[in-house]
Amino acid sequence: MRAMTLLAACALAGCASTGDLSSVRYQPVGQCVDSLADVSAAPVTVVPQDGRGANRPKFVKIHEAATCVREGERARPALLYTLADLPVPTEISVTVEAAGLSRSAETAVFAPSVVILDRDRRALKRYTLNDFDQRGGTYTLVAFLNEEAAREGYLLVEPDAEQVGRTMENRVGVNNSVTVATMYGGFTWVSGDELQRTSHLTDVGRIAVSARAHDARPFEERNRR
Amino acid sequence: MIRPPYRLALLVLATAILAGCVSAPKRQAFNAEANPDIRSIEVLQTRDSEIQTFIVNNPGASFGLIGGLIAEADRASKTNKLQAHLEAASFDHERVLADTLKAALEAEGYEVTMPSPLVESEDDKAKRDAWGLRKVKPSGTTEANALLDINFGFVGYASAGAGDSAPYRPTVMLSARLLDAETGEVLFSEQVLYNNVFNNRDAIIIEPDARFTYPDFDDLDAAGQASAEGMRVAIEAAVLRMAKAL
Repeated sequence: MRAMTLLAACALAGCASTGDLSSVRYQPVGQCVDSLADVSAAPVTVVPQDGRGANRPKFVKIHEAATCVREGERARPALLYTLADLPVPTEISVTVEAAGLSRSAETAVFAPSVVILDRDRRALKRYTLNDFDQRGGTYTLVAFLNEEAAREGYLLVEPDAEQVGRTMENRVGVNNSVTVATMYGGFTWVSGDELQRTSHLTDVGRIAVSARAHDARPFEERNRR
Repeated sequence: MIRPPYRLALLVLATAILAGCVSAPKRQAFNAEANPDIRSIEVLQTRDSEIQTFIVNNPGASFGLIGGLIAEADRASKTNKLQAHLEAASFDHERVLADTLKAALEAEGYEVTMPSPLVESEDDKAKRDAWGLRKVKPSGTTEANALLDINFGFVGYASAGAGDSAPYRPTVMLSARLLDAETGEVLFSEQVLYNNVFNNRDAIIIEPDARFTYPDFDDLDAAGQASAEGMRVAIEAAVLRMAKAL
C-alpha cells in the first residue's frame, strides 16, 4: 500500500524514482544548456475574468516543461515566461501543487524560487515558498506587474536550492467514509481523522503560472455569472 | 427559533461551504502599489455569529435523518457548554475581531473607522452570500476610500471526526472583501481558515497552535474558561493574516 502511494505520488510529481518522497529529485531530460541566457521563454497563460478556467490553473510537470540548465556539476530545471505582451497592471499567479495528497501522511512539494527579470534578464524581485500562501493542497503566490520594466521582462521559476531537502508539517482533516453494501442495500459509514502531514520540499513537481488582467468592474457586476 | 429539520439542513449546507464544496468568492489579491490612494477604510457591520462546536465527519450522518438529528442535538449540547465557559470568561469573539482588525489595519498605515454597533441588528440585515459577504455595496456616503466587509464563516472548536485521532481545536473561518468606496471595484477578496479541519482547498490555511489541543469534548469541557485563550489566539491569527494582505 505504501509502495503504491509512493508510486502515485512520484507519478504526480513527475519524477522517475519510486523511492521515498524525501529523496525525489530532478532528473534532466534531453540536452542541458549552459546558461539562463540560452533558455527559451514561453508566453504566460492568460486566464479569463469569468467563466470556465477563471479559477482553474493549468499545471505543467516541471521535469517535462522546464529547460535543464547545467552549471558545473549541478543541473536544475528552469521555466522562463515572457511578460512582454501583458497589459499593466496584470496579476500573475503561481501555483504549486503538492503531490501524493490522497490521505497520505507524506507529500512532495516543489520548493519554488520565482524571479521577476527585466528585459536583460537581470533580477528585479525574488519570491520563495515563504511568500506563498498554503491553500490545502496547493501553495499560491500573486505578484503584480505594475511597472513597464517588469512588463518587458520575464518571469523565471526554478527550484530554491536552500529549501530543497527540508520538510514542513501541517494538519488537515480527512474524510475516511466508506460505502458498505448489504443484501438490503448500501449505506455510507461516515468517519474522519486529523492527519499530520509531512511535506518534503523537492526540485520537481507540478506548477501553474497564469496572468489575469486588472478587473475594474463594480463587484455586483463582477459577481454576476 | 429554527426547527430541527431546518437546522440539520443548515448544518449540511455549512459543512459543504466550509469544506469548499460550494464555490468560494473569487479571490482577488490587493495591489497596494497600484492603489496608493487607499488610505482610509470603513469596516462594515458584520452579520451576527455565535461560537460553535462541530465534528466535521460525524458518524451520526451515517444513519440518515434520525442519526443527523441525534448528532445535531449532541452538537447543540456541546455548543451550549462551550458558550457557557466563554461567557463566564467574559469572552466576546466579535470584540476580539474588531479590536484586532482595527489595530492591525492601523499598523498597516490605514485610517480605520469601525461600525457602531459592530454587528448588524436583526431588523436591518444586509443581503449576503453563502460566505456572509454582502451582495450589494451599501448605499450612503462615507469619508473613507474603501469599505471592508469581513465576517466569520465559522468560529468555535471543531474536530475532523469523532475518534481519538481527531482532537478539538480552535477553528476560525474568515471571509473578507475590500471595495473601492466610490466605484465599487473589488480591491481585495480572500478567505482565511485557522485549522484546516474541513480539508478546504481555497482558503489561506493557518496551522493551529498545538497548545490548544483537546482529544475529546470532555477535555475541552474540563478546560472551562481556559478554552477562551485558544479561541482568542485563533481569531487574532486569522484577522492578522487577513490584514497583512492589505
